[in-house]
Amino acid sequence: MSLLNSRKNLSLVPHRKRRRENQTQSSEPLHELINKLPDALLLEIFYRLPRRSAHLFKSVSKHWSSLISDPYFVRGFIHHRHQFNKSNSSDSNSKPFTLMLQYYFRSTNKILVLPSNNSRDCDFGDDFLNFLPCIKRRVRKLYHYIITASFNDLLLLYSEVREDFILNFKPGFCEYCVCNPLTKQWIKLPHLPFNSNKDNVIVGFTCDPYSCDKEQGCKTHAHYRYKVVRIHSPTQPNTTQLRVQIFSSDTGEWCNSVVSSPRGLNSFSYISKNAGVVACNAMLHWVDYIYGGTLEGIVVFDPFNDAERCRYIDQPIRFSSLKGSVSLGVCRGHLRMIQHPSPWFHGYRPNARSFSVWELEDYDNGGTWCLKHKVYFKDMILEHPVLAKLPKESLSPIVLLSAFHPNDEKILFFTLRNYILRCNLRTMVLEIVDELEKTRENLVYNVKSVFLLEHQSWPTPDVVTEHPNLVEIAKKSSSPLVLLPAFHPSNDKILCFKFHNYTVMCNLQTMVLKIVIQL
Amino acid sequence: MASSSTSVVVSNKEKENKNTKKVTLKSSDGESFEVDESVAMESQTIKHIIEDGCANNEIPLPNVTSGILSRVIEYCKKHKEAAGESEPSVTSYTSNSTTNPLTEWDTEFVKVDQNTLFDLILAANYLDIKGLLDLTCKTVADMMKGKTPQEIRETFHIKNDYTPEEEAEVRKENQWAFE
Repeated sequence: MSLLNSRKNLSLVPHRKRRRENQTQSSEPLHELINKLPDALLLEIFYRLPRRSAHLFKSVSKHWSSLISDPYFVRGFIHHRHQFNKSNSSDSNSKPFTLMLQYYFRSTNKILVLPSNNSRDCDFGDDFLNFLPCIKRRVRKLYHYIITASFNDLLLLYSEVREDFILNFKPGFCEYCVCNPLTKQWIKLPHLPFNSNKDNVIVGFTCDPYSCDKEQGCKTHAHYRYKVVRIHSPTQPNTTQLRVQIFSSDTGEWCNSVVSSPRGLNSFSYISKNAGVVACNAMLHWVDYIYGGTLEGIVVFDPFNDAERCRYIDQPIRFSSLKGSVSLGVCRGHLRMIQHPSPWFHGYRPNARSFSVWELEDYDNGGTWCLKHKVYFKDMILEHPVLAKLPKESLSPIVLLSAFHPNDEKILFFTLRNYILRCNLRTMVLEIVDELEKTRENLVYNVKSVFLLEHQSWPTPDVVTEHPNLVEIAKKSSSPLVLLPAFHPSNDKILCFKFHNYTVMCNLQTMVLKIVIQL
Repeated sequence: MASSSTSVVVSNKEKENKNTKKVTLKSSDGESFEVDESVAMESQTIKHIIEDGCANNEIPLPNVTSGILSRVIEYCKKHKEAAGESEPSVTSYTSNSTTNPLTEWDTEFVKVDQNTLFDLILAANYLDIKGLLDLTCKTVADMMKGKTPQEIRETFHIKNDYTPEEEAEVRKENQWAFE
């Protein structure tokens, strides 16, 4: 500070300049100094803001709003974050995530959000889905959503409404909804007919970013497309044709199709449903399991590049053909699988109880697996007094659901009875992260599924709002497009019209079509 | 002032004997600053001018006033010293106090009024000095962090051109950010 002051005293600043400076400081009102910066430099400043602030400042002025809302800004923002993460390389902190558990408690579906050390930005309470509207049928009948899948920071939710025989007959329907729990934006997908025979279906959800900056290696989620795939269980053993229903954000419609498999596939069992459908590198993976038997392999389906065929990955070569459960997950962009051999196999050899972690390294030639870890429960350190009380033999049977830490390959999460545990393979410590409410019922079967939300540098936006393909849908549709248009009373650039079951607002200035209400 | 510039020229000749190359930078208001070439090369813009062989007597910088230029030179000198003489100082993309020993100095350096700060940003951009641009932009971003939009308007004297309805609309669309 003293150096700078002495500089001034050496009168390097010409006399007249000094006088002018005094003037601006005392008499002239300070006009928008920040606006003397060109837009490019304003953006440089915005890139260094936390994303919540960046969103917040849209309401400072219209100029700032147009800068921040522009996809160019979002790309730059994500890129800047990416650069920052690269140079500061702390792997386990690269992207914060939230783990959530879905379970039944007193016949209602509930969600438990595990505490995590995320920034204030992404903390969720257990009721974080309350912003979603419930489907209302009759006065007291509210249908809530359950989570069926997750991808990055989006959730896929599902609700089904039965047929209504009372009064006027209303057919039942199934409804899916894609939502971003952070920004509380959501889109409802078109209804599907409700099948009272209970389709045996597993559902996958995957997004494919439109623009991927291959050189800089960072994916922008500013504009992207996604697909929801409903895979119907093969009804006969050794089927090579799978019936699927795919919703594509490009078309905005569901479409039925058949996917052929190189191998005969088995019907879905509870193991398949527990393992669910995992999206990794925009491809969907699910397990092919013989009920009452063992894992046969993994089915891989790429809805973006090859929607007619799926691939088959054999089980790992050294995979013990033990009966037990399997969980799939993604760690650092690779598919991982945990194998929990059934405790009843081990019988009276408690010391042999273990689990194995496999990683899929190569998709070609039937797949190449690599055994990453084989962990014996007897080697685990149980720090929590409650866990320590449990005899180690009883640890194995009830570990049903597991999840992988997305960035740290040595951390896993398990559910055991009503506890949720974190297992650190580096230190071999098993610790309790959270606890479900206790009931007299056997909680094991009440825990339905685990979902992971990976928070992005910039929250994934509501696609439909700015999706140019809404116009494409309009072009392809045969029914009249514009029913009952309405004009905005004061702004001549805004129109409202009905389209299918949506009420759409059209802004002619920004050429954006926005869905306002959905019936 | 004339006397001060001649005294600079005199010492210039002395220093020439010591074999450190110098360049003269001329601000928009006619002030000349003599600096070591290596310090001046912290600026990519100046570096390209020198390498292209266009730096004869003085390098004119019509976009930078002398007040700002003197500060910029201060920054470059300090960072060049800290980095060593072989290559231009490799400033990390964002200054991390554990890796950048000049963090304290930098923090003091940017304790200036808004006018000067924005002028520094403009100069850092024009002269293409990555570390300085990063530092100044980060400073402004830190000033903005945690403030409400109204506070931002007050701090930076920005006019609110939204009608109350429009503002409510923007707020509604980005509700999550306001919570």
